[in-house]
Amino acid sequence: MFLQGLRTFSVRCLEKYGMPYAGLSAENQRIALGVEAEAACDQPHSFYRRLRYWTVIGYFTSEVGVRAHFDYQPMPAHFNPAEKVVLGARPWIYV
Amino acid sequence: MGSPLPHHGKPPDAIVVGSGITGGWAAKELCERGLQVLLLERGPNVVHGVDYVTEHLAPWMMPFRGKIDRRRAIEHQPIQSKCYACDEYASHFFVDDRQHPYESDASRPFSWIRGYQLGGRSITWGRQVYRWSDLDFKANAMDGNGIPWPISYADIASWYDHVEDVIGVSGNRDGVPELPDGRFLPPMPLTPVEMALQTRLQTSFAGRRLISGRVAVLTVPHRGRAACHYCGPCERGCSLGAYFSSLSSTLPAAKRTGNLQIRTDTIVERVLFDPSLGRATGVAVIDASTHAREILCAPLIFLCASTLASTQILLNSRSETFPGGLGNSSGTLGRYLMDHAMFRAVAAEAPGFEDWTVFGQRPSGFYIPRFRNRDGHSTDFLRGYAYQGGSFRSSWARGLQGSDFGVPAKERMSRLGPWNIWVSGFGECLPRRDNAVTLSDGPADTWGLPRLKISFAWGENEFRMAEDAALEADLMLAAAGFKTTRNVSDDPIAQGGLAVHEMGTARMGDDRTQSVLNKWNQVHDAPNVFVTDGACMASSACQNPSLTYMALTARAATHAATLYKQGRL
Ligand SMILES: Cc1cc2nc3c(=O)[nH]c(=O)nc-3n(C[C@H](O)[C@H](O)[C@H](O)COP(=O)(O)OP(=O)(O)OC[C@H]3O[C@@H](n4cnc5c(N)ncnc54)[C@H](O)[C@@H]3O)c2cc1C
Repeated sequence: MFLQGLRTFSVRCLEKYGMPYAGLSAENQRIALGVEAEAACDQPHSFYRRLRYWTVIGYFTSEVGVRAHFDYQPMPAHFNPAEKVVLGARPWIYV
Repeated sequence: MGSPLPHHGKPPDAIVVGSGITGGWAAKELCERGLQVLLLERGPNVVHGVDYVTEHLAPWMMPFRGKIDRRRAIEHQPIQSKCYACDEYASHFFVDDRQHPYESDASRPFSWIRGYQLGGRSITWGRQVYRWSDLDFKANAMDGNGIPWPISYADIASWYDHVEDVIGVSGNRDGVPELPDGRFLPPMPLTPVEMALQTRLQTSFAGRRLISGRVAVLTVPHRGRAACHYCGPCERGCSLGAYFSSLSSTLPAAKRTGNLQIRTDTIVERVLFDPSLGRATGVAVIDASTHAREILCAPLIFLCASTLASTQILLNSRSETFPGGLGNSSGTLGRYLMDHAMFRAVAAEAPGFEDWTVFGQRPSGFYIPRFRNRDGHSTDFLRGYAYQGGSFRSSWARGLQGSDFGVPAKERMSRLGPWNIWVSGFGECLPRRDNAVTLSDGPADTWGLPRLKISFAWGENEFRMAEDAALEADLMLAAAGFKTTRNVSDDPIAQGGLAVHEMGTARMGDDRTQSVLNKWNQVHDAPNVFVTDGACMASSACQNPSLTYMALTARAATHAATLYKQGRL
């Protein structure tokens, strides 16, 4: 069902914009996904929900995603249960 | 008949079956008392450090980003993958369910979570260690469920000391009578959220305490092992040996004596009994890869193959003298199986602590010791439960909820989220005759051995307890100002087996018509056979059991070595 959803989504992008999703401008990408999101708002098992789920996991377990947003600390060496949060600093991530 | 292995030229004094938490302990104690030990392990060798192949790997280095390969899991580990620790990083330390089948009732399945390798489940275990007290050892005698324990806290206290000294336990001396203090290294600290709940319990819930988890992970260097570096996922293995496992602790100690020989890939099929001598003479084994059969003899035999595997060996040791299995003259072998009732976790958001976060990953949490039915009986169920819990500031994973996308969503998810706190109750399981294992008449396994058949169901008492535990968790979290968010799973009690605290089936007792083992873990019917893993347990208490297994093993091994050297075994 997920693969089928991807196919339908690609065809929709092609029909509407004459280009696959990856080639769209940021604005058009936003609109294209927005349509899916709206259609899916009350359906827990919809294509959009799955797409979103796997995208979030995929992105934040990728090296690019982790390094872009977090301070990657695979070897913390100590544990502090109450470290003061520094505003604006990137949060730690361990694994 | 019998070909005792050349063991530095001498036959072994003792055969130890299994190299997990209890087998490692038996080997160490026997070797240190001068006995030549042959340790038999059915699984492959695991070299400490070298074979922790996923240690410190980032998710992007794993083909499935750390999530288990679903297709492989469906085929090879449909049962093992129900255990939280069996993910892509650690699944190689869990058995292949297809290779190691057993039977259980489809309508109430029992999940038998296993690790067949050198070190057993000591590689993947959760490391939480709590002593039992006489509230637990006297429970059977008090309410008539099960049979009285043949030992009390006084018999085991010094063995707890000994075990804690060796394995290294981080914890606080909390002064809770029902959860005796031990020999502790500095505790792992609590978070501000946990301290707030701790204070709340003190002020508003008489008799309830929140304490730091007691955990077999080192906060300071200890006996040649390094302190924890707080990387997080212990179950992948720790080359620094910061947590206790057979591989980091007991097996190296046993090896240092020069008295240990290890044979891996060797499946113990049964114990051989000589009726004319009234004792066991050795074990029959099968080479796991060639399927070659062999007999190994020794005057002393320690079964430490884990609760159900040791009972399986005894059941399979059928003879004319013992048609129902070795040690089964009482008819209780295989019966009174227990596991801890693992209640549905309760989670909450804890507002007001946004200025703080944690640095590092603490391989432990907090603990709320049993507070029900401590002095007399005041609930609609018998005995009690304890909670384990933890807290953390949520990270990107909270982004899985919601429907936003694009750059703003990314920004939102990568900011520190709210504090979350969760508690999960572990309830005592009453010993029941019908919760039992037998040998199946169905198809044998790859090695021609009968499969184990497991019948297990939770009882009314556990369900009542689950209700109470859920209610009380809500009350306590709410009193601390936390907002309960959701119940994490659906069933009020997880499937039997999933607490991985399976115990009983060869219980200890003074009355040999009602039990399999005596107070020294000796088989009543074959005094040179000792069973010291969880099979020996006559009740389950609600504390994680492995510390007690270790203490009983050390105690039994010392007793056996003494008798043996006096020529009395
Ligand atoms: C994820 C997880 C978390 C856990 N958390 C905790 C915790 O926090 N606290 C706690 O107290 N307990 C915990 N446990 C339970 C703990 O791991 C077990 O209680 C403990 O390992 C039992 O020790 P054992 O020696 O009896 O068995 P094991 O450690 O399982 O070792 C048994 C060994 O015997 C071998 N064997 C089996 N059959 C045969 C045979 N026929 N011939 C030869 N060898 C054989 C096996 O291959 C294995 O190596 C946890 C377990 C898991 C999996």
